[in-house]
Amino acid sequence: MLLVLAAIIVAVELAAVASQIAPLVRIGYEQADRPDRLVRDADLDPLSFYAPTGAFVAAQRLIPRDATYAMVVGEKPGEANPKIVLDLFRMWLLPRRYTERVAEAEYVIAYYRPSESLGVDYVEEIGLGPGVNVVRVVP
Amino acid sequence: VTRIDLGLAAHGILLPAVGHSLLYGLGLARLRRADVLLLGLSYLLGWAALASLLSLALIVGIPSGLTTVVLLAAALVVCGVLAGRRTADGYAPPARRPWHPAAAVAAGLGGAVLAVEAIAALVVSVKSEWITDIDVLNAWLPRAHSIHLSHQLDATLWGSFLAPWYPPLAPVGYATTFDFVGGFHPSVLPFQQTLLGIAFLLAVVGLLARSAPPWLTLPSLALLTTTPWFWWRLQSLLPDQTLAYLLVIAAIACVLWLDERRGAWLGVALVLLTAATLTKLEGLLFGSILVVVVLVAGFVVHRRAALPACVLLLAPLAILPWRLWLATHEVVTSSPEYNTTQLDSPGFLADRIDRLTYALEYMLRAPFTGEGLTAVMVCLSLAVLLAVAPRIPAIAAAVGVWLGLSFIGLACVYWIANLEVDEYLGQTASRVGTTLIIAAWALSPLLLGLALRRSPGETSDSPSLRTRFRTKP
Repeated sequence: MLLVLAAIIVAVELAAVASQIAPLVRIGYEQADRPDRLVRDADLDPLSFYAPTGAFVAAQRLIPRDATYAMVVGEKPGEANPKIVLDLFRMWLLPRRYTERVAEAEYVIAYYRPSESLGVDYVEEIGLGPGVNVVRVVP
Repeated sequence: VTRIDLGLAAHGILLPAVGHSLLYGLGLARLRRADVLLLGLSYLLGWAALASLLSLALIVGIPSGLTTVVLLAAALVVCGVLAGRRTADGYAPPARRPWHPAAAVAAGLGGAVLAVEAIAALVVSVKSEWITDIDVLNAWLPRAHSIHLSHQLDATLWGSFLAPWYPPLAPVGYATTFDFVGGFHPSVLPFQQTLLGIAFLLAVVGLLARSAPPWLTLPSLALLTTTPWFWWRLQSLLPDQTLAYLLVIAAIACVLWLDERRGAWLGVALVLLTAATLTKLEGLLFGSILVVVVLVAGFVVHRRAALPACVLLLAPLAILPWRLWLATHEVVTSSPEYNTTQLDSPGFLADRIDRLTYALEYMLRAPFTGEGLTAVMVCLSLAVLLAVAPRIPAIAAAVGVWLGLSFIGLACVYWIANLEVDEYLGQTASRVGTTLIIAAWALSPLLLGLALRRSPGETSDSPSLRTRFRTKP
């Protein structure tokens, strides 16, 4: 009796597999044809759904690794939750120290927010990308 | 060949080497040709052991990094080899039996599908974009990046990202990959995750090889791999499916211990359950229930000879150092979304009983609402459990009670939470609850195999017990 049940189960399994396998194999086959990408692009591209990835790279280049920075996120219509944008920058800019207090930061990133409204005096303003700037605060 | 390729290759060699040494130490492997069957288990066990030890090392303040990983791996290999010299070689490879042509076709088809699906998953993990789940971006990856850079647990940083009470194993595992490839490269992680998933599938094949015929195991795993949610999550950076791998292989090891009473299976289960505890709180929940159920079943079946199984209690206790670290570093120790302080208040629980009934109904209905494969898997798993119960009652009861209590335990999580229940279930029930479906499904060929080995009317769960009874005058 158990053997019959086992045989029925195996038959059901193979029939179900036959009905479902094609789409997954097709996906694998189509992906195999895609050109290889640079690792840096592959790391960053998926994040473009949430924020402009060029800004991550530019901020990484401009803010020294031992610096403290803050970030002020403004409203950008149709964009991701500001908290996610902030967390992405924080993740990407490690080991740079993030602070919530703009007054304590050496650099402040203004994300879709005018630099003049940050409430700090700065010596330099550098564009990181459309709508994104970083200011170096007066020491 | 880049530094990243070399790093991935070194990581990919180190993990099975560590795992195989542990299996050697436990007396399950002996560097013979048949050990190829244990390659998947070696990889998974090596990953779990190294990630658990690294997590505990970080918790007590030992810095992580490539040197620490290599030293820990070397220590595990040496311990395994030394222990293996003292362990009797009691684990025979599966016996070769002549196959019925239909059985050979079923096993061949199952194996071919598994191979094709595994290759397709590997291709997708390399070529397609990594999946940016919100929890991955807000919790798991930033912490992994922080560990990779600082080689320690930075309490301030840890507490500033989502759900700091979650244990550190998943970020530690990702940070180790970053250490090997020489930088923060999240795009290589899906490949690592897919390798872990394939190791899990191979581990099931290896573990079941002596208890269930391949014509049962391979088509079963082929169906699991073809199920879209399982296949897509092979490359997911959320640790939910990883947790399923750990718990399911631990459960299989526990069933094998109930059947054979070989202490080595307890060692395998201990390592995997410890890793599950340090991966997610669901690992602690499902793992603790498994330990209690296996202990009860063990004492029923094996009487005092089940005493060594108490070692499994160490696995849930692995959460204590983590809770202590959170408390001493003034990081939030539990989610404010759960009313853990009011669990002893009957009035509080009664007031929100509708959340429990809604969660139970939702979770029972869920497998039958999507594509048909999940419903087929649930129904067949249930049928197998009922069918084998007369021949292996204690093992079937243990598996059924573990799955049932875990299901109720998960529903209770939704019961005591403050979050809007429908939204909470919608976001989490699928990826957390599928652990139980994978477990039920992967255990089915094992249960069938064990039951088929018993002759009809024979109900003893333990061959050793059976022998003892028969030899008594």
